[in-house]
Amino acid sequence: MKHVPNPFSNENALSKEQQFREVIAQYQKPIYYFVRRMLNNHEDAHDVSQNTFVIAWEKWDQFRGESKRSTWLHTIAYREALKCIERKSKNVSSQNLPEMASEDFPFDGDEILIALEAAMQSLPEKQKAVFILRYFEEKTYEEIAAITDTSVGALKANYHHAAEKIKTIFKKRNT
Amino acid sequence: MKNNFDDVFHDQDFDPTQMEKLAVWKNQTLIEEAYFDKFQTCVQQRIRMNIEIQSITIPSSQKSSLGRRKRIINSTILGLAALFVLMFFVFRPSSSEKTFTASHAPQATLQAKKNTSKKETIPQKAPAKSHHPIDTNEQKIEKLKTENDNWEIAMQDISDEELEDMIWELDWEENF
Repeated sequence: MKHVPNPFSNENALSKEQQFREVIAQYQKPIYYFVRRMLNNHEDAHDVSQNTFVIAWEKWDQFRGESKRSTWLHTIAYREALKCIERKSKNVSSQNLPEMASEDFPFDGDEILIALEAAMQSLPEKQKAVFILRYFEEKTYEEIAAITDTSVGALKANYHHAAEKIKTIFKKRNT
Repeated sequence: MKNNFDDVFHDQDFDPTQMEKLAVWKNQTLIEEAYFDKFQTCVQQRIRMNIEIQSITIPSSQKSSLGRRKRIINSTILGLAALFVLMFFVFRPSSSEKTFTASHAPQATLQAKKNTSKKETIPQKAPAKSHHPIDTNEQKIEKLKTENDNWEIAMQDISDEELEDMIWELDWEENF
């Protein structure tokens, strides 16, 4: 059985606990927002973002510092989000998916924003992740490549397709 | 913000209204700020819960007794296996015994064995009508000749099949 140390007991090194608390405080919003945009649903986003930090604690010692802490956390969050999508796609028939995609839009009555959100949700998972990380999170291509485990060239192509699709919808709606 | 839009959409055509919309889209509030006040507490609870679940699954007090039980079962199985192997070597016929049986067994015993094996291998015959399979039909016809003086006259209108039936009936009467 794998031993998971308790991060909040006195017997553990205080510095590690403090570090972990600081990491949560610093990255809880970006991680939640990234996952929320990926899943378009608060319940799932809450579950996945919380789980991301639980995994981060369990694998705390495996972080070698070769990448930024935020890149490492986003990688965990990205994988957990994909797992969640996979689980849901198994449980829900494909006929219900369009309804689910539009269930949790944060806009009230602004058609263009709803259309943009819908356009983003209609993207394939990888394109969507790349677009969110680049546009909303403002990550560099190198960071996104590390998070999604893709080459910079491939993700630029992904990103281009996603941006073009959203731009087309945006212009159509606005004219 | 402007730079990011340009970088993302590679387009200078957006008018101020469009830019505003994109800015709203980008900076939208997806959830109330208060949600993040309890975020850390929720993570802590989850980690504690994981630890508790893992400790509840197999309590340490039970672990030792489980291990002891496992060891006892393992040693019992090993003991039985060893006993079985030992008995196999003690009670199996030795090679000298086998040679003796083959070369010195009485002929009668060997013959009996042969017969038994023959019986086992020869397939059972279909029930025959006659109880004297050695006698051929010709022999039986000869027999009839001696028993009946007017045989030739009697036989004129009888077919071979009828004749065989007659022979069978004679056999039946003789035996039963």
